Amino acid sequence: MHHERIARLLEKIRREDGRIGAFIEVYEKEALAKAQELDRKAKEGKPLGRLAGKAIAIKNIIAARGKRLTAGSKMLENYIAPYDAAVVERINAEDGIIIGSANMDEFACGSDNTHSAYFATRNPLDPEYVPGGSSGGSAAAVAAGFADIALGSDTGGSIRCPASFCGITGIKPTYGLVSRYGLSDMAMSLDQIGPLANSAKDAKLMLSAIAGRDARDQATGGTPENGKVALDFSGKPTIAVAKEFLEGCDERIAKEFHRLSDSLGAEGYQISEVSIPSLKHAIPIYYLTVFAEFSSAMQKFDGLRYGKTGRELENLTEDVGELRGSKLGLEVKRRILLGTFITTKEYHDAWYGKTLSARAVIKRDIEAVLGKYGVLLGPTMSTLPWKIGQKMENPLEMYLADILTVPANLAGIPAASVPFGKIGKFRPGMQVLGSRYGEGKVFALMEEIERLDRK
Amino acid sequence: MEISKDLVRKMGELSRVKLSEAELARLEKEFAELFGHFSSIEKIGAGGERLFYVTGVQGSLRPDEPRPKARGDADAIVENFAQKDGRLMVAPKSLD
Repeated sequence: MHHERIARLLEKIRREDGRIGAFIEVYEKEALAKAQELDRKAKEGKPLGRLAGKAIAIKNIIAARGKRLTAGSKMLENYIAPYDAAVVERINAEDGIIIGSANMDEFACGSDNTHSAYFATRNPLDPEYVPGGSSGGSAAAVAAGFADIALGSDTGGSIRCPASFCGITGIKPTYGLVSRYGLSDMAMSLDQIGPLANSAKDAKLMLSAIAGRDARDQATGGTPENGKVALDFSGKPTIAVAKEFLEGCDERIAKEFHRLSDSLGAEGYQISEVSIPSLKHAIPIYYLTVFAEFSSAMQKFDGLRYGKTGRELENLTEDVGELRGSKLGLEVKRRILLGTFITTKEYHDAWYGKTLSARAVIKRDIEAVLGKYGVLLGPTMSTLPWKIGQKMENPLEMYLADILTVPANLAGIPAASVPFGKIGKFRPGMQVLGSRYGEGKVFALMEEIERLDRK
Repeated sequence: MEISKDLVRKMGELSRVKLSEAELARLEKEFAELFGHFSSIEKIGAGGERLFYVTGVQGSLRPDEPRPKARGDADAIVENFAQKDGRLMVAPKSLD
């Protein structure tokens, strides 16, 4: 039964992924073998795991033993992951079937998946448009029907942006809820792995399988053991809407948001408008933090340790600089240089030091609102997907697209995107943010939004 | 703030990233625009508490014990070296 279904999905991928470009690699042999093993276990009456039979795509920044881990970059073109990431161990233990690695913006630097060093992924809702990023391959795999669930990573919206653009559901969990062991880091104080799926139910199922403390990721130190993480909530969480979320938002998205807000009000939800003025500074705070942490994280990719580069290096300084200059894309180089700049002795206090102080303020302001209300609600993205190639030229324009998603990462709180309504071919995402470890309330509202969307 | 091509080149050298002349010219222009926009961080939190991490968890260390899989993992790590001599990585010289 599982074998037959997985074989059908693989056939669909072979037939259709040339048009979408969701996968960097498809694990056909391993997926069929795992499906066969599950069929045998079921026949023998053995119990199956929580993810039994689910076809799962994983962003190619997550390690799967013996498989290429490219991070969407030519720098890691021949790097073979030496071990399984913690999330891969848990998927395997719960009988999920990993069917392949998903395309992404190079080293997760991008919001539209056109920054992959291999090929641009296309939006299954309209292939002339971007799928969002940086987990665009993961979102496209689910939206195209190639996978039931996908894993992405979210540093400033990289799960929620593509979920919104592709009309599916995605959640960035609380920072520290899911182990990042085996995730190639982009910005260590912001990164988090999470699921993308067709429903809140499937996203919750995957999160229940992968969440939990792991001694190999210190950030999970305050998290309960796997299986003991609370993801349920009964009742109606109170809702706050920050007026800053709607400033500069596409009018069509704002209209759908107001329709949702009215529907929730009619269902008896208490909705209050609030103001968080520091949200206006979220983009500088976020990007300056990313630049500093990213430039540090990227120093390890020197052409010596992570896969064969096809070049013999003779001089450490010049040759490594030349290799990195030729193998890394412009967006990656841009961020490395900016991070180096703001962490030099001369400029550290003027830029990085002030960024850290500003981050404390925005976190405090968001927490103050979430101390009074159950969740924050707003649109996920202020724009609809753009055409492929449209925002390649101006980095600031690309960065500004992340304005609504980065606050959750700065505060370390959970945030999900759920589709609601329809604008042409697209289904805009509505974002639900909760307090740290407040996934239960977030899922409760996600399920309610799904119910209202079906009405 | 003043961004010059020489400053961008210096950052490239410190970062071990060699840039073409076209990239230098482009980044010089972009950095001026980005820092102009990002200077708004001056407006909040100046001189206040600095936040590095949101968890508040400190000193969460795993037991210092050998793991059964470690040897296999190490072999796979060595296999990824670009140039090697047995189980050692060959690194280029840093001084002439």
